[in-house]
Amino acid sequence: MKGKNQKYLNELLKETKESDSLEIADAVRKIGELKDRIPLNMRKEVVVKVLELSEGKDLMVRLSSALSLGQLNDVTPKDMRLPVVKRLLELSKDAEWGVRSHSIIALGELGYNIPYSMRVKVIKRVFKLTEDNKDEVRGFASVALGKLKHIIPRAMRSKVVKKLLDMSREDDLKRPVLESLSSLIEVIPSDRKTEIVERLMELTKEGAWISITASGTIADVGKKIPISVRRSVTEDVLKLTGDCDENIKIAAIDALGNLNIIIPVDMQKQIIDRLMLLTGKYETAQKLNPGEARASAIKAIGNSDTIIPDDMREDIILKLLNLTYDKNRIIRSSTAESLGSLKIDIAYTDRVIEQITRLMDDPDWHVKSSALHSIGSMGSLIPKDNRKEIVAKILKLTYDKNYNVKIPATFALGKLKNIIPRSSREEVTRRIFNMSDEDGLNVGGSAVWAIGELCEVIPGGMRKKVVVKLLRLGEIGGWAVGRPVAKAFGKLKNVIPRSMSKEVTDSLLKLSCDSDWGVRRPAAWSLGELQLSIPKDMNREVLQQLLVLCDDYVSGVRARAVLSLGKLAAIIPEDMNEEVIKRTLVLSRDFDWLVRRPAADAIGNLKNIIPKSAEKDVLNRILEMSDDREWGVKQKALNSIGRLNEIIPGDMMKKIIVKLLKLTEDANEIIKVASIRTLRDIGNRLTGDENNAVVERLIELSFDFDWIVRRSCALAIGELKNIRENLKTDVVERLLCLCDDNDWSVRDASARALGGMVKVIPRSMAKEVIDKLISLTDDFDPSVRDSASRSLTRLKGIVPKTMKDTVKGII
Amino acid sequence: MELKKQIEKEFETVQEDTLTLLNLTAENYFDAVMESLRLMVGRGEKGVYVTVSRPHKYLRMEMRKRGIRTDGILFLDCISSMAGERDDMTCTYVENPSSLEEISMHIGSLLDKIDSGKKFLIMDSFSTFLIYNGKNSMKEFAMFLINKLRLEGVGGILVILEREAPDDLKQILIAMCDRVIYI
Repeated sequence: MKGKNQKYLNELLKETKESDSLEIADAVRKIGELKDRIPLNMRKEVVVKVLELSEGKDLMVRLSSALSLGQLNDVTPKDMRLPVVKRLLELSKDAEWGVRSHSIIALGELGYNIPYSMRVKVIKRVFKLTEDNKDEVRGFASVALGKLKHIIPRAMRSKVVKKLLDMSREDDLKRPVLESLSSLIEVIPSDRKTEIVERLMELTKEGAWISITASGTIADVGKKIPISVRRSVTEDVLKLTGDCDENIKIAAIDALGNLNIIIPVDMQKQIIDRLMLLTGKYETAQKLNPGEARASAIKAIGNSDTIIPDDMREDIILKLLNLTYDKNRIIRSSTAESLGSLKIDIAYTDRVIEQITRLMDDPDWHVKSSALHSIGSMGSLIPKDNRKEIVAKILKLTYDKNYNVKIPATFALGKLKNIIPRSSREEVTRRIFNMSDEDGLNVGGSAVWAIGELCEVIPGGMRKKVVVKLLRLGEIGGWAVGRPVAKAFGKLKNVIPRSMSKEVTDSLLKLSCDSDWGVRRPAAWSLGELQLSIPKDMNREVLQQLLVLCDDYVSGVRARAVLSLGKLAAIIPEDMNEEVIKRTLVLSRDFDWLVRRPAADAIGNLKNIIPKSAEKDVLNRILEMSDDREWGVKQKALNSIGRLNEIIPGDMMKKIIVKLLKLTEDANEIIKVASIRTLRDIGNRLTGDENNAVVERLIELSFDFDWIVRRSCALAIGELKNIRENLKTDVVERLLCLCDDNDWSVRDASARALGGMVKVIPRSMAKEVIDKLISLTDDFDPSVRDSASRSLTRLKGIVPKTMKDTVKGII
Repeated sequence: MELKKQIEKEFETVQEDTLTLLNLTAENYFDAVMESLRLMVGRGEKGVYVTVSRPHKYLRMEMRKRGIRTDGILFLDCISSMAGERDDMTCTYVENPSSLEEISMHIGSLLDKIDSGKKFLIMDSFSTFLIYNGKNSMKEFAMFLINKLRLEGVGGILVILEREAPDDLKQILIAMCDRVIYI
């Protein structure tokens, strides 16, 4: 694959030396389209060449070069980014509007890769081009502003939004501007957000093309739509589902399906009713409903599972089951798809599965394909008696000549790994194994993916053969095959024979150098998964490679690399400790939160290798990260604070407790829960006033509306060791109340917590506690019964004499 | 040679009014489009070639080089105007590839101009259109185009580059086309 790419690229580079400008322009375009298929060692040469051509006299060559510079964004070496941006800025002043347009499109593609020193300059230039004398250039400039949203200086954001809102009133610019506005919504204050949403809604009332795009855009904005306008947006979109223009109607139905997260609770039934009506052949007695609208409504119902009222679920399922017999293949196909997305009541599971299985034999491949997608998501719902037959049917479809049937059939087998009967395992593995050699886009790749999924069911006798095959396929590399192979090795970690771990590690190291980031990313992940399977003499090489990948230009690769460093903490040689920690701290400041999050996680995992001299820096950084603007980063940082418990110096503990208590007030439930868990983790270090403040706060939070918060509080209270005398009664009383919670997991946690509080429970309350635990041993939930019984065992020492026999009988 | 045979094999079952989605890798993209065109022209079909990736002059040159007749093809060129070229009377130009309404209008009138019972349209390519247009606009354009071709019984070859089209657009195209060919 690599050789083929290199040969193709060499031919293209040769064509750039032709005398015919059309051929040169075409070669430049093709180079841009290659993107990350360009071998790593040729990237600089390619970018230099395109830069050189962008200075040519021929207009088409300049135009194509500008575009290619944008397309090559991700493969442009760091030291070439500045000259690329400078050149594009020059081209944005070209006398020809076509070149100006293409340079603006390219600048929009560069995004974060624009060097810091140039960012303001770029934004100012793009903004200026929104006033260009050609409307086309203005349109492309507005789109670029949307793409560059994250680098627009805070102070300029309102100005940009105002400009775009003004432009959205000009006829020729409405369409490009509205998608840009929806993109900017992420980075602006909420009053401006409302203004944008209101404008988008106005645009849904314009002519068909604008209206359709606006509806789609509203759906994309989704949960970023401010709460204050959610109702009016829902009402307006609902109204549009009755529009006489068929295309507007369909776009509105699609939008409703995607907006379910913002639909006010009291409107949910109305929406589902409307969608149900739209699945029919007639919207009213006189008004025929087009097939495409019906199909959209069916899919929208599938997307709206979370808002379907319980009392409507049965009707919906029955209706969909009927629609599986519709004459129109689009309807059958959408129905098959939606049935796979809906939560099915146990009473209808058999019928739904029966119909989906029937649709796998449909004469139309679209329907077969949708049915295969759906059956893959049914998993354990498939009745035991039917499993063998269904697996056999899917297996048969992996021989279908149509890739659109064959590939989903392969994926379905991978997804259904846990229900494949023992007697079919060998046949399935053998088939997937043979398919991995097949040619054709994505066939081999999907088979390799399925091998990774099937790891636990691969019969012992075939494991070696499978790994050997993967090693051979790994040699090919590239997106189609190298990527799934790299991922499969990570998943197969427990079935790789010890004798082959060296070859597997070697293969992953090679794949982690692939020119395609889509291969490097899973390779970085799998190296971390191998952990102790990595031969000792290769530890250093693996870690060095992960450090190199931490510097990759693609965020996803850096993210997996730093995550793996965390997982491999146990094999890091002492002399590499400093370097690993240093690199992790650098990535904890990455511009992309997708990298900061695993970096925050890795910091906690690397606790045992943090050099004494770096402890303070690490702790300060992880504390800063608990204030990150992205909740995903905050959450991981909080987890890591808990893990770093032992190295937190006493003088810092107070600061951390204050921070954690503050975070328990966070609006995001996940952060609330993460901070409670961290308080639990550091519970044994709490003393005096800090301890009191934490206990009081946990009691307060245990009244929360959300069961996860109540459960976390119960568990946290159970871990606190130094509860002051004056609070002991309050704590135990609260836990006794939580033992009566409506939610089983809260009762379970409270029962467990009480079991660990032998030193906390006041003698005067022992009887009450034991009584409560005895009653919980009759709970309808088995986990609660089990936890109560275990706690009684742990509290044996405080059981009042009069209750000893009863307790003995239970435990 | 291998690619040519593969295209021939795939097109064996493609009927005159079939809508085919060509899902191509960057390396095979141009050759696969040219070979598909050769087959359509070879069957005596006439059609409209909508290009946003390459100027029609270049396409004509390439077709001549490859021995593909160009007299039955009407070009709708959405890129040359941006480079200041719109002087060829045999071609219809659109000034800006983001003028989807204008492009739709021209497609209709060019298809009407073809005096053959067997018509086809090549859309080269959706991935390039996505450089100039947002995802939602392209979704609507795709639906408009496919419905139009179906209503008029015109066969279509819609081209996308693997990994250069958002999944939801790709899913719409796959769902609405009769065949998908992966090369």
